[in-house]
Amino acid sequence: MILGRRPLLLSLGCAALVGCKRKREPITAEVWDEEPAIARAEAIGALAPPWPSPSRGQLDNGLITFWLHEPDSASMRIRLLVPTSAGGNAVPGEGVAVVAEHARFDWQRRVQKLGIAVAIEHGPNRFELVATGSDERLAATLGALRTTLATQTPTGIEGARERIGDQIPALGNLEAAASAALRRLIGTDDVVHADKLRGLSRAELHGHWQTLADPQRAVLVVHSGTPAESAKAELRKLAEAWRGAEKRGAGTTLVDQATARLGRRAVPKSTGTRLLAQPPTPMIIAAGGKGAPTLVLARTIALENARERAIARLAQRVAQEELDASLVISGNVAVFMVSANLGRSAVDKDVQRTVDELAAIARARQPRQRQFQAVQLWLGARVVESSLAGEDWTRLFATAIDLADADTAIAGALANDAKHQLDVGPDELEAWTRKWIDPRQGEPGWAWAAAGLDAAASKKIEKLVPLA
Amino acid sequence: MILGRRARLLGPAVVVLALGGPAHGHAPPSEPVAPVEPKPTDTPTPAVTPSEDPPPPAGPVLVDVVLPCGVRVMIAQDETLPVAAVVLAVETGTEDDPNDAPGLVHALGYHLLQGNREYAPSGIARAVHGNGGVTSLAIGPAQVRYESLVPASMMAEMVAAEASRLRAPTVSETLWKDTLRNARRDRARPWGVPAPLRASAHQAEGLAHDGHVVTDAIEALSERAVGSQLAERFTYDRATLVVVAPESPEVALVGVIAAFADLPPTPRRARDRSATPQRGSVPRTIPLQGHGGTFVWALPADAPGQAWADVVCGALNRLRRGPAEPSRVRVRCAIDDDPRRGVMIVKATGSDDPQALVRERLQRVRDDEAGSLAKERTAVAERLRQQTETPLPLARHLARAGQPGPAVDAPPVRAAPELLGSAALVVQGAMPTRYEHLLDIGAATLAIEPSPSKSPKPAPASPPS
Repeated sequence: MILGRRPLLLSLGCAALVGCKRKREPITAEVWDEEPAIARAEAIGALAPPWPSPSRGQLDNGLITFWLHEPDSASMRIRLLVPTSAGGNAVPGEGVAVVAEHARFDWQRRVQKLGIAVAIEHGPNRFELVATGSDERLAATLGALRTTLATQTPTGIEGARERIGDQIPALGNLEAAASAALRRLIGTDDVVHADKLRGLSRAELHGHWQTLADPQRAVLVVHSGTPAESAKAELRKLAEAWRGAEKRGAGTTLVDQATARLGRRAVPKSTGTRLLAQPPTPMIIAAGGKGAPTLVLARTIALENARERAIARLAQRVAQEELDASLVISGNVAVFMVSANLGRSAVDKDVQRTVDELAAIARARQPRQRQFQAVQLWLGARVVESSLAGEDWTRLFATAIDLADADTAIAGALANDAKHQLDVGPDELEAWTRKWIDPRQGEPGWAWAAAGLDAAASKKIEKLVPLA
Repeated sequence: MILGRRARLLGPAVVVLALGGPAHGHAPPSEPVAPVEPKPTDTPTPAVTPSEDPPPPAGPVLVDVVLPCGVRVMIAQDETLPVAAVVLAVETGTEDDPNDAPGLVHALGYHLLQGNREYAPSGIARAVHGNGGVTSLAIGPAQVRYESLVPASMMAEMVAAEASRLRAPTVSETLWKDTLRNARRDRARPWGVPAPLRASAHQAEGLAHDGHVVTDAIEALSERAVGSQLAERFTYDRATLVVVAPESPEVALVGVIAAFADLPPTPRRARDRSATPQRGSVPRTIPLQGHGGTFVWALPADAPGQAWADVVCGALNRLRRGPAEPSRVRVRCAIDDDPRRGVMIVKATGSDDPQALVRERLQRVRDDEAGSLAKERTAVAERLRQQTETPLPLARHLARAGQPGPAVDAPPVRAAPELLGSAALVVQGAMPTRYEHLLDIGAATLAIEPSPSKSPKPAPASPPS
């Protein structure tokens, strides 16, 4: 039956109001706290790819590889995950964009005639290069990747800068505000500024290439109908040709876990402030862009294990039903963000209302059924979206890396994530949301920024909160 | 990827046949269709070897049966991800609109989103979205499809929903107004050639009008009229349910049979839209302002025929200019894709005699069977394989299978490539006789610029000479 109980109860409530003449009905909270059906929960929890345990390897050059073998698959995907800020060697957004574009372009031109498509995708704290095509071209595509990465001073990298420069999109208010809040929280953002891009010298670009194109920091995921053993020779050649930069800095140690390479381990220093409460968070007024004035509230969250990551995701999905809330998880750190449009006349009230709404969600006890619906929607949408995008196992595997505590747990990470989300009780979720996403009374550590405001609106906000 | 297993399917399939009994079969199409027999023509016989009985292609298999209630069911297995694609394709479309109510089928198609006794208005869509799935509606000239991609945990629910969709839809004045509001927002898709040209190529007058309009006549329909039109046009005996899911087809089929078990036995009525290709030495002509020199072929109403059209079109596009042709001539081919009423469009420019130019090019394609046509066959088969790797595109392609459906004595287990058309490309060495008209200029319709003295309005197509 598709009709929910809420409309039915609401209509019964309305009928009761009409039937009697009392002006005010006693307010009773509608709580459906019954457990979801076990079979249904099990079916939802099984919404994870049926992949067998991948072959994990570490090549001589330090590159970690995961080989997902699907017998009879006629297609293959090769995904190279390149962290952008791990290892204490942060590369600016402009440098990351140029390096990624050069790698894509160079790899693509070498496999163009083979019918292979190479694309850049972005993950938390990393970029990913993905080659898709016929499994018959696997060896040739790996060979082309080897040639692209073998050089330490790529000749065409300035061409990549030109191409990026031609394609910089106009910044919207949402991006401007989010970027300002992120810079405050973690010190970096992904926005490419035309002037900074132009200012990058060739030597700097080569330096960024050597920092990022490092096999000791990258992870390779392959999904293929060919078993890993059959590609050993090609992988050996890759290890021999792609050595990475010789100078990695003093004290650099080889990280032998993909989860550690790709995920943030150190939680950024907290801002120590709350929103519209003590200690107050100064609001950043960012330069305006396109669209309506936008407010972004953000914070970092420390997530110690897979269960906490599952709770964080569940909390975000519940909040998203009422607010535009997002969550990006990278290792032990997540960035939670809420955005809202601001009106031009009562901007101060809009700011207060957004904070109040978030606080109300954080302090509410979510009924079990509502949690279940949120989990069902999230897990279902994850596999459906993946199917629509071409059933790319490597993309889901990259997501699984973000959810796992160690490499041995990656293959089962999506299933465990589903299990944890279904296991979370209302009390546990409420305790977590009160701590992490209540902007007034929860754990301090917030940042906020608004973009697209005029002078009058900025003055109104200044009366409400200090400006940064 | 389909992971069907013939051996695992044979047992349950026999059970299904036993359950179906005499009503399992299907009646002949409601409108008789002339057999496609090659007739003598003035054009040279294509230099291809007819291959009427190709060996059964190896590869993935699926269940293809007609249930007692007349609905055709196709189930394929895909274990790559825990998702299920469910497509209900009804063999009716905008070309079936009554003359006095263009746009009727389009509006009725939308009205089937308004629920029935079991589902609230938009209830099926809400259920799909609530589970993280996606759903859409596609209304074409001869097929209306309700497509959903849902998590595998929701497959049974989705099959039940599609087994309910056509049953006693809720009709009320308010809902009908809501339906028409939605229908107005859905504009007709852009086609490569005007509707009169497509209508002429298919010899189907119903294709000549805009089937996406909402007219006063439709707005004025009473509840009873809407209900009776729905009951007449959207029935399970002209529908196909396609399921692609991780579940084994035999298990899924049990659920599907149960979902339709309470419908009364009805002979299948799905109409075969395949038109008899016209024959002759020259194309039939139709005056059409601004489209002179455009040749159009009606595509067969099945997936293999459409795959062969792709092959011919690709080969034409790859053909180099002949030694005697001036450098300015161009021949470009494109496909206006549709499951039942697609057309192949060839535009010839830069030539004083487009007919001779196209005839010569087609002849060269025929003569080079082992060369350009063979290369193109491989490329199209590979493209088809890539396109049908995931559940929803595979289900859509299967819904293109020729109608009216499998014969009474046909085995329930069929090779997927046979239905998709890739088998015809890979296994058969030459173009099947029934598709040879795609290489025959006499089977085309040619748009010509109307003479200045005549009205620019399209005139009825002239008979083939």
